[in-house]
Amino acid sequence: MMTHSQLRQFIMEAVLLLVLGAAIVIGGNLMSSKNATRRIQNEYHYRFSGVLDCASYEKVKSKALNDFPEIDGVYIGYDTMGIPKGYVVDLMVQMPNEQNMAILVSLDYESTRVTGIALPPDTDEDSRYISEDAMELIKEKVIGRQIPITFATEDHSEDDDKSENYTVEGLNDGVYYAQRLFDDRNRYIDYVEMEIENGVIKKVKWDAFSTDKTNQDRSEASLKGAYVTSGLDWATQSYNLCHALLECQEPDRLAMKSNGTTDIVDGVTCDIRPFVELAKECIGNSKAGYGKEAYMRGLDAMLVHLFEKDAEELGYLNEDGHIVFSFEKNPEIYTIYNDDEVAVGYMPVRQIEAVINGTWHEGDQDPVSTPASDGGNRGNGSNLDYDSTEDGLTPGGALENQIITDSMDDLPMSEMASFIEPVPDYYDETRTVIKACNTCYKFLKEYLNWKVT
Amino acid sequence: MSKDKRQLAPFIHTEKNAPYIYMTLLASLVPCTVCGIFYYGIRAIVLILFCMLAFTLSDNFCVRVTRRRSGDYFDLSSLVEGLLLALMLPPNTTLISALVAVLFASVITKQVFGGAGSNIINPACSGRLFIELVSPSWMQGFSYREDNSWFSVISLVVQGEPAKYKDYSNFTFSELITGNYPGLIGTACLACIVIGGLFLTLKGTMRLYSPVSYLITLISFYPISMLIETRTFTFDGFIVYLLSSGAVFVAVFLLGDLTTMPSRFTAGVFAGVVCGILTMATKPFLSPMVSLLAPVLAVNFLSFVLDFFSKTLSRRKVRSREVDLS
Repeated sequence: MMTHSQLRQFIMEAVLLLVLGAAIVIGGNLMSSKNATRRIQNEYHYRFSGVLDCASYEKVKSKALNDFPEIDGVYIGYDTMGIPKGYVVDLMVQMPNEQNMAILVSLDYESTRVTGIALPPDTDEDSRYISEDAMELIKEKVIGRQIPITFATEDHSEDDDKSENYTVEGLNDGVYYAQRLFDDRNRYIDYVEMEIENGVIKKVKWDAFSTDKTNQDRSEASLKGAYVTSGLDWATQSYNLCHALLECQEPDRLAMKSNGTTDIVDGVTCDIRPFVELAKECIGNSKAGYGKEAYMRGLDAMLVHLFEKDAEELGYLNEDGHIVFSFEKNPEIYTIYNDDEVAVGYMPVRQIEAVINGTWHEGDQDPVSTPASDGGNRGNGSNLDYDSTEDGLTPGGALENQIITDSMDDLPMSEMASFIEPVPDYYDETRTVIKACNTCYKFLKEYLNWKVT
Repeated sequence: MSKDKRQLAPFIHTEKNAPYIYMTLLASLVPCTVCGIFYYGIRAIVLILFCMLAFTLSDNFCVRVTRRRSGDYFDLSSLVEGLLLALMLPPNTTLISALVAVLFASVITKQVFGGAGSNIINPACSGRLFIELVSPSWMQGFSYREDNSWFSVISLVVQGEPAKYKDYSNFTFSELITGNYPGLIGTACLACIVIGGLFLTLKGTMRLYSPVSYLITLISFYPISMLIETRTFTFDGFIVYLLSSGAVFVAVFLLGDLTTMPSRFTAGVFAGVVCGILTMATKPFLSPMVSLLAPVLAVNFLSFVLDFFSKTLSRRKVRSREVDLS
């Protein structure tokens, strides 16, 4: 039988061992964690630098991965500043001959274009079913393409110039900005900021700041529940829409309907008219080389024209550098009237500044936004041949393009973003790489809650 | 009247009675338990408590069914065996797998042989080996860093995909010594195991012959085993094996066991050596856990034979000395 003194002693000893064990484990963890982190990053770097060379990598934890057993891991690569550069997807694909092959695919963080493809460096020679020569040829075909990818058939090849890596012509690189000149009923002023690199829209941000400086931006307010809209929260809808624009590169391709909504970007139920109009204005600014700073100067010029003071003197600059002022009470400065004094459109800031400065000529290119009541959605600068008055039609115009006629890797052809020709003599290998890219697309679609169709 | 004053149990009066020994064992496992909980969180806590509770309930149920007298003390051996078994499980083990192991350990290897103190083989060891042999995939639920979450409990119910971290050679010694690598719940931290072993030695509830001879044998035979298995041998590889395989845990808590290991010096050393040789001999051909645990059970079976022969030999020596004196 155990005595009280034995029990007391046991408890004392157990507590002592508990403290000692905790000290060792916590101390040991602190001591070894740095090594562990460094070692893991070295492993990642060794494995992934061939497809995406980054300063650090972070493994993505997502329930979406459960639906993709072929994906071994998804990683986000960061540069030295901690800014995400892209995704690396480590996956196993089955080749047409039913052999499994490990492959790494890297994708641009913003546009999710393919930036790299490689077989993992630790792949056995016996498991390298794609030769280096074949891989180089496939890379030439695939890298830079928007996912999902499919083979160009005869039908599709006719549309290649429209659907494959479509970009708006004449864009100048830089950061462009446009904001609405009047606030909405919630006293928010929408703005769109766009970054263009190599003639391709790389980043888009759509948000709105409040004319009441004590209020948060719309996206922040929506995430905190202070700004409620139908469907998903506004910030998510904004993200989805920006992503859709990155994919299609052209606001008209978002197929905005006359009521300001779109059917082709799932999860977006809000009115996208401000976004489409401001995005068009940004594109117009880009074509004219009218950068963000010039835009701000243009707004300043408008204020000086009206009040003989600039934004800073009037105290209209917020912490983010936005000019927080609604020109609602001065519609004459931005509204275009017809001969019957009926408003038919709004002038962009670039045009307003030119008018104020007296440098505007009637023949100048003029991206006109139309008032909401107008119901139209006339694209400017779009070289697509389709009737934009048709509600919700995607570019291509032809009805047959709107119908899902076939699929690849369980993705409908209508969802395909890029069409490529298979590498001659390496059809199976090209098909395998496409399958890997499309698996990445399916995962990212679920992970990022993309709703683009 | 016989001059032999030795008496048989239960008339031995000593401070080191059964509750004392089991409590000491429980205390010695505390650092390893802390390590498991620190790295694997809630699921480690649940698995440990579940195994201890299930073992206790199973033992008590068997005692009631067989109407065997359980003694006039609370039998702490169930808690010790349950804890020992839990510490040898991977962190992502389902409760049902743990229950299978517990029931086998408790009913088949402990109660069938007469309960606490009467078992021939170590129940925790046999339970763990049983589950490893029955379904190896159940015992592959390891997790590490990004895949590891302190609050994750889904693995207790749903068997996930086996996560194998085959290569431990990339881990630094500091990680291996402190248990910061994907291992079993309680066998990963060498420092904690050593503290537990020192504590048991200081309290006199562990015989060092078998553990020490076992580890020396492993060191001696590891190069041969590796040459057979991979035709290469590196010292670093040996250190990694020693730190990551759970061999030290086996040495301290399974081969240091008072019940199932030989009680005499010669027999203990012999058992340790045999266990080490068997481990190294089977390592190239069996899975790591089987090659580690199966030899322990083998020497458990041998223990009473070894004790018997070592006793007989020592008595013969005494008699021969008596003859010489006369």
